[in-house]
Amino acid sequence: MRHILFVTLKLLFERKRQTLVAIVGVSIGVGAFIAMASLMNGFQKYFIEQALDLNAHVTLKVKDQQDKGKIIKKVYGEDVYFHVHGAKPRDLKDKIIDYKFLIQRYEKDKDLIGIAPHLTGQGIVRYGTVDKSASLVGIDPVLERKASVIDKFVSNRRLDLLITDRDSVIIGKLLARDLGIDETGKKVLITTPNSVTHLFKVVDFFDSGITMLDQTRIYMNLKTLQTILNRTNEVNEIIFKIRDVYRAEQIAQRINLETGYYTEGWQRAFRNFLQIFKIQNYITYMIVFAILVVSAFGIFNIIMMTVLEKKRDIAILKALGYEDREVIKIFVLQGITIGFLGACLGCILGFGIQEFLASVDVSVEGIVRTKGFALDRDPRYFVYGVIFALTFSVFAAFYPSYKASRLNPIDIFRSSA
Amino acid sequence: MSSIIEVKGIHKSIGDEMILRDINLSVKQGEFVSIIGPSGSGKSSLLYILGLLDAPSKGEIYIEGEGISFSDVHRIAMLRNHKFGFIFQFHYLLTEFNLLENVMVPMIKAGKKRQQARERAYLLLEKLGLKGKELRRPFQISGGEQQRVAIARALANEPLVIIADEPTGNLDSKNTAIVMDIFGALHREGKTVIMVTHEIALTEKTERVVKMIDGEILGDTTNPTED
Repeated sequence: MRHILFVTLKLLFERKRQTLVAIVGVSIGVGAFIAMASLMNGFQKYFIEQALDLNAHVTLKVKDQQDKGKIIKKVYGEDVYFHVHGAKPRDLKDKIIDYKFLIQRYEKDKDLIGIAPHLTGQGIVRYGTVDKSASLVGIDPVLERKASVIDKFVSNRRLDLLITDRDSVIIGKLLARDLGIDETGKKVLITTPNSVTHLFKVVDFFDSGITMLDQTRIYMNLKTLQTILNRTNEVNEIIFKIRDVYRAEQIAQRINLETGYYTEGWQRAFRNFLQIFKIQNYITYMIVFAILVVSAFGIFNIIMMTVLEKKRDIAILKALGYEDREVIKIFVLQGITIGFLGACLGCILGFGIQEFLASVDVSVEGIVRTKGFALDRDPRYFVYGVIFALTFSVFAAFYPSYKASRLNPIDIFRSSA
Repeated sequence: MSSIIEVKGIHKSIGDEMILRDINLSVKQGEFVSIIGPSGSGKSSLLYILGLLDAPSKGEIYIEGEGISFSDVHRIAMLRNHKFGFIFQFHYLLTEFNLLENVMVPMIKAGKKRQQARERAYLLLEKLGLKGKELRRPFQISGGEQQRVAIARALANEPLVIIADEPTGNLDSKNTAIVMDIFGALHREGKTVIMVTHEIALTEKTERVVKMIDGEILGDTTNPTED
């Protein structure tokens, strides 16, 4: 092996410029992969974490699950093909019957950590002359704490004020901004669809980082919302916090079977976003793949050029006793060396980009809002980057190396003479 | 003295063209053989077969009495590295390597330790009048010097036979004389040299002259002028 390394390293490092260009090409690919993977996955993980923290792992609500073909199936059997046109929705009352009993029933369930009732409704919130539509959520602060981590998102930790002061609200940070409210203590008017208008004091702000929620949501005491919506003792949603978040769908299905109410896990609730993330990941990895392919072509090009330029050297190496497989090793090893050095440099570059992105003090506002970029700095991205770079390098180097090994030294000696 | 290379009934054809016909030749230890003939006579083709760089279409080759099979690529490569030293019309020095490293390449391939190879390379270059130029690159020295480095490289593994294909073809008369003097000295040291040339004058310095025309050996004489 020493004789192969002796020639390989010499050929590689005496052609500094070409080698450097190839190494830089690979390092850009690896660096871009690490940076993009940590940025994209960081954003996605942040979104999921926030959404999971704030929203229910499993939600139970009233929803029409009527089987439109139920009667037809009963009459004609299961094997009949039919299509129901113009089925009218059932008049469903948007309330969970005997919700207190349901809460009691699931309080001791070993899969569940917390359970809390919600009453949700729409309303118009007015501050001064500014009106905004809002999503009103009535909560029981004590139970809510067990079923979500709402405290984490309430800016001044004044969730308890909803218990002591029934006419207080916690308002989404962006909604407050849109209304022009910049401090607590301000009074707002909330009008409900049943034309009840009530005056509330803003006691805190709610900042989840998820734009959609922060722009619309208002929390208030469950009893208060029941009163202003004229729905005494009613709730229309129960949220569950579960031990293993990845079993959400399974547990949702169980609760559905046990209660008959519509239930959904967080994966189904956020399926649109998760689908977007999937597409986003495809695009990211395609771009990175393209970068790595381009850098692999760089390696291919350089080794092919070396082989073409070094025909005489290859011929003399063979005359000096180097075998075909050793010639392949010489050039494949060049590819691997370029790949390895490129990967190392790429890891440094990737780490540098991560550091830079982490230090950028910028407010990102899109689906989620963060101060700076949400990064996932999983060390596995570095390992994957190195593996990709080495694999691409070996593939890129193999064909020119094989071509080199097939050179007949006699042809070279004859043509030179 | 026993034959170190022997070929029997060698034929070589490229496509439909027969370039060597029924060649029988035996070279003994310590001989200085020149193969001479006009262009296209097959002398280089024969030399490549003798040096195991090319396989004959038909016939047998024996090195130190052992038959050679070209399907055993590992053994062929080993023999090239250990038993033969090649010198060509063009020097074929590796441009990325300095002179010292060029001479070291076959020794490292043979498994010699780097330090050992370096010491011998210094010695060989000094012997061939290149002392002080060891760390230069091939393009930093003259054509005659380049060919002397190629000779040093050919001698690196103390080969059984030196195979030289028109070694003075690119040299002026002064450097030609130097190279031929080196070959003469090697011969006197007991080395076997087989050289292809088309210059009749050079054959006068060799011990034995093999004449080839149209792929056949037409004469094999011992040179009376050889010392």
